[in-house]
Amino acid sequence: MRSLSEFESKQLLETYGLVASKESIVSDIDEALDVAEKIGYPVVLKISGENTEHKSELGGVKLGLQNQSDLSIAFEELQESNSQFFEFLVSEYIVGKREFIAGYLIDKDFGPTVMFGLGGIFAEAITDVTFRILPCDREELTAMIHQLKSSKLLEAFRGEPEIDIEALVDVLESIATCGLSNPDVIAIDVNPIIIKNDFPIAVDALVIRS
Amino acid sequence: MNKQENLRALFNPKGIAVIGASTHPGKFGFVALHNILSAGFEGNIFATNPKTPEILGIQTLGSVSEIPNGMIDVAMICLGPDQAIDILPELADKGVRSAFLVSGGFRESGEKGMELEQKLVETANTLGIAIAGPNGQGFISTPAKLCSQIVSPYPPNGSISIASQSGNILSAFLNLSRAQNIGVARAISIGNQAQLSIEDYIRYFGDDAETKVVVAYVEGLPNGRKFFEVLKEVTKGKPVVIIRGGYTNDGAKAASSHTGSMASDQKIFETAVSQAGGILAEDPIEAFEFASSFAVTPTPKGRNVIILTTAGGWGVITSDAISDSSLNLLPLPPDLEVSIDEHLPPRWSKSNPIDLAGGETRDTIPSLISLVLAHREVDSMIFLGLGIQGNVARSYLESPIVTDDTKRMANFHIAQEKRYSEAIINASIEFQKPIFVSTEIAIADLNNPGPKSLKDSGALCFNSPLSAVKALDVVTNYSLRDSIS
Repeated sequence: MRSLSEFESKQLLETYGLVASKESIVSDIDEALDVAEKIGYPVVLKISGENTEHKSELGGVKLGLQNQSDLSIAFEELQESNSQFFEFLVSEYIVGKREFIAGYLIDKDFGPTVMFGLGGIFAEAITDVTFRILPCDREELTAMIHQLKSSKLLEAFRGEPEIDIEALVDVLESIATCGLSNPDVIAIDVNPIIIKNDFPIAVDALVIRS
Repeated sequence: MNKQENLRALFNPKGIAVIGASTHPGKFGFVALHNILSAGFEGNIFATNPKTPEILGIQTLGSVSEIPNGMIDVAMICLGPDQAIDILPELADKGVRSAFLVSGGFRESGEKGMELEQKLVETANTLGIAIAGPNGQGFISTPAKLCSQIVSPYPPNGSISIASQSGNILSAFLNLSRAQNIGVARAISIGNQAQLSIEDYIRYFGDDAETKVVVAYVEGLPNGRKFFEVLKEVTKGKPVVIIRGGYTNDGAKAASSHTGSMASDQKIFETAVSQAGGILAEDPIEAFEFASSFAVTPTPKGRNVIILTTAGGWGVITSDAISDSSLNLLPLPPDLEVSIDEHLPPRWSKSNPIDLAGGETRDTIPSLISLVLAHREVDSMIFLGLGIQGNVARSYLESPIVTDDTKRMANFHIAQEKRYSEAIINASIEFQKPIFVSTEIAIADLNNPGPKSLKDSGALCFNSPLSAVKALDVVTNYSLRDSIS
């Protein structure tokens, strides 16, 4: 069993239409500054490569870097505290009040399934997820989104507009198609999906292969 | 082997043999034979027992070889696991196409049992015999007057068919069927699902002309994907109610992913059932209410419900339940209000719920039931308050004070309750719209003439309006399943 890195996972999913945060792999500070310039501040800096599935727990994520100086300091800190990692990811910093999770799983009895659920800080306290057996059509994917207990969040919420449901369905469809098209893929996590204004953007992803 | 053909034989046999009939009334081999005889099966009946020449008035045979050729197609095998397997070739020679194995000692008993089960399936497959069980408690087919089920009452004939992995859940369902006088077509305790599994039974019930609604209870599936596909197919034509249970699969999780940690076996199972168009019920009681609603009431054509009540408070509670459902508490159409006005004094509610507020006279309720149901915008009705007059009758009849007036009044109330129940049944048939009756009196007083006459006629009566609303919601959603956007 092998996990793709965050970057590889998103790249694979993007070929199936997933919209992920803009990002590039860098190995030194000059490259990091270049990439950040292209993406535009603020940015996020994360450790990358193998064994970084739990990068938040390793202190390997620096959020909301506003300018070159923030990025340089963060880069130094990550290099010092995570000396075993030589690869970093500079990403667009996505901010939104609403977070969701989505995924793909092969159930022993029913085969491939797709999951959608509430993400963010309350997700551990309030398990709110729905599944569908795959393959299924966009109508089913739409239904599974509206089936969330917290489906009120899909509407206009605290100054943010109503979520683009078709775009959320696109997210689920890209995950499902990715899983179904690659028999060696046994699980996919896209977590979190942050809603920027009305549009879902995949901020982290993990593809697990057999 | 054509499993469906063999299942047809199982539920409609020309002849059945109890293999391993017993003289001991506590043993399965006795009870099975007893129940086959007592339920009145009209086909050929044989029983084998090497030691005793006669059991329950039946001349037993020393061995299967003594059964005349071509007389049986079904065997009820009440032997130990090894003998059960060994007897299969002889049974095949006699024309047996399906066998129910009560025998335990297979997969449920460990590794050796697992091997035996494999051998059982291989042997049966080679011989072309369909195997129900093993480790099951028998089956029932009321159109064939056949009962080999051991632990529960024989239900009245009807159009509900049920397959259950738990003998006790099956038994619970049959108890309810008998108590409510709403009947069953086929019922089977499916045991270990060694060869025939739940989806085979569901498919058979789906094609079975005697079955209008299918019920199933499972805790595990030998082939989940096939179950899903069959369910999807069968629910297009008939409602299938699945009782929630402790569903588990014994495989390890695919990967230590976040998605995996969110996926309980039960959650995926319920997703599969709903996605395939199946209806989930919390327990056998709710499953029975859903199944009965499909079995004995006309199908609603839309969501508009009218509540007709002589019991104000229950009307309020029922309205609340409807607002939490996908049903629509129809705002009282103005022309209907005008028509109702002619039947009631001005104090009635003039809205839905139609609360009669005690303004009814002898013919009011039957007239209003027809009037409301006939209205083009009304799709279904919930009727509350049946049995209240019967309650009044009871207090007169139980009273130490008896006068001609109280006797006359009691008789009037009793006659009225019967009229109401007839009006409910007749209007429902005439207008082909369901009337869901709910009254707690159905359990408070089993002899109350209101609910009792409904039940005696095979109509449905709920104890709680919450259950009635939930069941009406379920049948309405199923009826509109293709038009839901």
